[in-house]
Amino acid sequence: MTALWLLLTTVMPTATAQDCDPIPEALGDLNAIVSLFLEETGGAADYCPEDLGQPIDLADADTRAAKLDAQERADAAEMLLESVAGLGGEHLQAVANAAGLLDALLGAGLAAGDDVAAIVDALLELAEGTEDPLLHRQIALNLWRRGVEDPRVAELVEHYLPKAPDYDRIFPDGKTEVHATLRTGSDGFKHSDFEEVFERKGAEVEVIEEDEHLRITYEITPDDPTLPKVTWILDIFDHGHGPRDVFEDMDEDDVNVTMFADHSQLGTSLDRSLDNAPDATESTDFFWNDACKSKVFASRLSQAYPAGHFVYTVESEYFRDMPISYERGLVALANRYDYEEMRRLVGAGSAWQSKNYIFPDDAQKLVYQDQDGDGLADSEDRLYDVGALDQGGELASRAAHIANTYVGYSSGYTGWSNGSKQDPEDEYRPDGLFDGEPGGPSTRIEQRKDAYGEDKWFVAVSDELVGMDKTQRTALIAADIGTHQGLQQGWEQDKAEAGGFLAGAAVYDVWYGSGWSDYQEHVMPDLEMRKSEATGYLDDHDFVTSKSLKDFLADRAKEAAPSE
Amino acid sequence: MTILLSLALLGAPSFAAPCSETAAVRVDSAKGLLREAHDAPAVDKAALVERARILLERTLDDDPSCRRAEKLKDHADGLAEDVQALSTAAAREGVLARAAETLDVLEAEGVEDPLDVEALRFQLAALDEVMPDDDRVAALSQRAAALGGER
Repeated sequence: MTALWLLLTTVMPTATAQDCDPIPEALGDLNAIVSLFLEETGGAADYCPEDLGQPIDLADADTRAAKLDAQERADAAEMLLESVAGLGGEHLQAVANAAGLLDALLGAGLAAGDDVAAIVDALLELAEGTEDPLLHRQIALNLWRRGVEDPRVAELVEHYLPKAPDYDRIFPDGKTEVHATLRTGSDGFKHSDFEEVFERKGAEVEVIEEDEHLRITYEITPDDPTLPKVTWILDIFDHGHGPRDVFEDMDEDDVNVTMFADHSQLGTSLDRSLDNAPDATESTDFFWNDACKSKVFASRLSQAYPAGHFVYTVESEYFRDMPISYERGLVALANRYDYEEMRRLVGAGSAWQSKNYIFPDDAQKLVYQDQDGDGLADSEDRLYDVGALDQGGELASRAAHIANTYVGYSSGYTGWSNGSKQDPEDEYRPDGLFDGEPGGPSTRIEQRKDAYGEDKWFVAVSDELVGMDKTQRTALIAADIGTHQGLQQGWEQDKAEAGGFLAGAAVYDVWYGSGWSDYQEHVMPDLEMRKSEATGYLDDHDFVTSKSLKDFLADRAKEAAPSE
Repeated sequence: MTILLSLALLGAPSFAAPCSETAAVRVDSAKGLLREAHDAPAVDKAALVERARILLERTLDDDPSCRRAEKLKDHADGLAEDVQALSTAAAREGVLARAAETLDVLEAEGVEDPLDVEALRFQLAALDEVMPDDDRVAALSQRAAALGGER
């Protein structure tokens, strides 16, 4: 037993505040370790051991971990691991907290130049021992974020940032005639030229049902003569409006390559399909999500299928480009490419697609994912918040990425019409919930560096919005971000607010939802305008344009002018 | 120098550094891809050269002493830059031609679905991003704007 452990258990009393409830017996050992952290800076008086059932304050843990010396950190890691051994699922948050504390120790150890082997070992053991997939993922990504070079860590991380498709899944038992599916809508059939693209490559195209179902048989001889020929049987379906079944193959062994090629509708077009999504958390299917700015789906897809190999788009994707990219994707798969190679082939000599895809090995996807649903992007989030998803924390991340999307689409912000060409997309990052006031601000927007060292605006959302209708709360967040972006671009206050108001109205324009009066009252209290009037300014679904803003402001000025 | 001519200049297999049997068939396949790239439409050339490069990289990973693979890889690397620009330009010309066709149809037959105009405008805006000084893009954008009001 180490000197530190002796100190902790014999000399140092277990830190408890005056009014604390009794310590849950199972958490006694972990509490003692946490108390050690607290005792170092005299923070024990504010601490109740049952807080271990809530997410800990990691910034505080970082500070405390930095005050220990190398040996104390190593000892603490060992003790943390021992203290959570055997804790049941009912104490999952406590185990997640221990993983967070270990990450704090690791960060402090790396910063001090310690030998961190003991801490890394403890984290790997904790990952191996957990049955919870999200905790496993959290530990893996924390180790990746710290840049720990260890083959065991690389193996762990490979699960979440896979370097290559799961070829055992795609070609099970060495099968070389394999099925793939592409789901699109009427626009996809109208504008995509599947027949032309695939026939030009020598594939056979069969119309199973006019404008509803094509079957393409595409035989590929891999460039490497040592690999077997592959025959893809690609079924292309028109699902009509509002697809319900996009994920139906995720739990099927027959179809393990899928593409969704349709509109994203500000992140709602997959709602019904997600409601009907089969339970297949272990599925490693390859899924190309080829809607416009499909990054907006990343958070919910990573929750539904944490091990899924999803490809996302950053920008708009044109129907014409979809079959071209998918054909190349099928060639890449037949050639057993890794994702870097697939990225190179898909982008080679393309009009602009080379930068539009986020492949599964790309850590950029973590910016758009919020797997525990606490409203923090996975790229920033070091702590698994077990109950967050049930408490609506995810709304911050969903809304921020939806806002990024419409800002990117809005010529009023991007300056397409006046040639200024701003690039405001992806300037906003989710920042969880804050304790708001009824009728108070919907958001709190602060600038800081993100996990990749870039200055971003972090948007925290009032917890008062959690219970609201989805459309209303997203519109409120959109209005704040729209106003903020207008001010960033140097617009006058009234124009910025009008832009924000229309940005929120754009959400109502695309989604069905209630709460328009409350929305309008909150954003522009002196305005009385029907929803249809507001969305009427958003000509051609083009979000906030110079024209819609100009018309809106002109009408407002007319209303404000004294009558003759 | 054309792809085919430069392939011919690479000459017969070298016996100085023997390649494994697997490496040899892979090099032949890569050479076939480069020949195919020579004959392919401009828009497809870069993808074929990239496939050859990837195959040769894999060949060299397995058999680093295969001199034929190394020489062909150097050659393919040199080609890649040229064909990349060629294919990209051809791909963009394809988008431009298609946008012009769509615009002709919309002007002649009228706008049934505003989303068609929206899609066209987005595509032209994307073209403008990558072909900022192209007068044809500017002219098409103006015509598209006239279809359904200014942006």
